[in-house]
Amino acid sequence: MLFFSFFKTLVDQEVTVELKNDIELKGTLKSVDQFLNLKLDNISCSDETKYPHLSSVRNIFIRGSTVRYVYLNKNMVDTNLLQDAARREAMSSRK
Amino acid sequence: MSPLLKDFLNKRIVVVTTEGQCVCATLEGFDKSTNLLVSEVRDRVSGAHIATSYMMRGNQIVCCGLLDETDGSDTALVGPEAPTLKDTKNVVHDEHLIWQRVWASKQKAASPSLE
Repeated sequence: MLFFSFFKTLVDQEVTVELKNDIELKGTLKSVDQFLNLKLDNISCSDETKYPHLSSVRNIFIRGSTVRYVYLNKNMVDTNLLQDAARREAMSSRK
Repeated sequence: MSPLLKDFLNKRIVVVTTEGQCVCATLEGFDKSTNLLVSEVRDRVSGAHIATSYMMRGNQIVCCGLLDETDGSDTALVGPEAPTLKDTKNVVHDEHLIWQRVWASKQKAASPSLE
């Protein structure tokens, strides 16, 4: 559940999501659920001319299983905090 | 369970599948594994009517976008010249030929005396 919580802290930030079909969508992260399904608002496709299918779509739901990468800004992530949290989760699951 | 799709209920949506198919439809229902029940399904590219009612399995869904109803751009907006979307499978074409060659070179390495 760590990355679920992690993504919840990123809500309302601008992220870029690369899907497994090579489409890249940039938008504001609006919500996330336990499967890491994402909801983005105000999306723009990186190459609209190549894939115009989503041109009149602003608000999109992305299934977590089809996400390849989520690109984040460096300053959005507190790596030390994330490492700590990961360690703590690993400890608690070992018990 | 997953309330993320609740805002899309009874609205026109664009659904992209793992096969690279792209359709417009009205979302009638969904469940926690993103199985979708949709109606009035039309092809996003050609605007051709596909089905009145459709159940899409969750593991075939890539994304669903809410269509802007204000500009009335429901169907055939993309035009027939639009490129097809890729699937999510990353299949290597004629993979068996590659493995055939790997297998052959292994055999050769194992028994060089046969040559």
